[in-house]
Amino acid sequence: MNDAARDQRLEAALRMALRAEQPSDGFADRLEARLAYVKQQGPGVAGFSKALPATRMTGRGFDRSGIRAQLARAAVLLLAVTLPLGWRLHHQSEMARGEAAKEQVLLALRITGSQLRSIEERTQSINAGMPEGDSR
Amino acid sequence: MSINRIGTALLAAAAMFSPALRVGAQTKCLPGDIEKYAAKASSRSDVNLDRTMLGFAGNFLNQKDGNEAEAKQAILHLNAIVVHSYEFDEPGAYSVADVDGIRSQYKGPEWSHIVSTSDHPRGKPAETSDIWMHIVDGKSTGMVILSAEEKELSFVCIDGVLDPSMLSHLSGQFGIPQVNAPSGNGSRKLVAPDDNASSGPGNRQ
Repeated sequence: MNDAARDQRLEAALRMALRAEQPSDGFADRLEARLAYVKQQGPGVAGFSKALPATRMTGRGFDRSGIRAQLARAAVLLLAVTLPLGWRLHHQSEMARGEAAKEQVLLALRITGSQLRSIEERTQSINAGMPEGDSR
Repeated sequence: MSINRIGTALLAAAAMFSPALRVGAQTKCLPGDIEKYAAKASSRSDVNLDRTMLGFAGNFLNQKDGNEAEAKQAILHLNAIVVHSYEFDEPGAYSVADVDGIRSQYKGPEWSHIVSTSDHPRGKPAETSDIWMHIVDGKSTGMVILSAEEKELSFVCIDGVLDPSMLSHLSGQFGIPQVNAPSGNGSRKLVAPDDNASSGPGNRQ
């Protein structure tokens, strides 16, 4: 088979597949009835999305309010889980910072104390070597 | 609000909330370049607490614990505590000029040099100790301790109102020697290197 013949067959097959075809009798009525049924029954009707049960088919397309409600519920649930966890982590972090700051204060006072003691000992030893009345 | 006003407000807010700017602008604690010796130190202690951190730390000091309760009382009116204490394995780890540089920063009229000791062990560099008090309207509002020994260099700065009772509160604790709160002018100073000291509150009995 040459290329020209193969192209012709392919073209014919495409033309056949893509030809305009009239719907069967009563198609429009059946579709309208189906839409009315879906609208009346609400979500979950066979043939429509069950994955998003709150999604409703309307005459103008999918109603997104259901999705929003689901997202809001998910957000509330997420917050309910993460907020206490976040607060706990924050609290633990603050406690650790506070304890560290406290230790720093105590360390600073200890060093201050040891420096004062050291200077006191030094001045006493210097004064001890001075005649009485020389220490100003 | 004009752009300029917004800019000014932002700058003011930045200055107010930036710890570096806030501490730099107000603190009396000027340790010079002392921190550069931290790398050489075999043992080091660095504390840098501003008012916010002191307040924060105060919340964690146990009121029922004697030491901590006294510490809480002591830091109540402080703006900052800065401590740099370094111990070295070998002598000569720090520059005497740097120590003199720190010393020179506390010569203003509000600084009272209440203690200055200099010890010269044979064949060794001088070991010096200094205490300055910052006095405003007769009240001590800060204290700086600088101690330079053969293998040790320490800088302690307490910025804030030093209630005389603070030392008496702390005396005997944290290694602070027993000190009685000054009462009048009859107390005796151990060492007073300059005339300013005569007006200083560093009297010890």
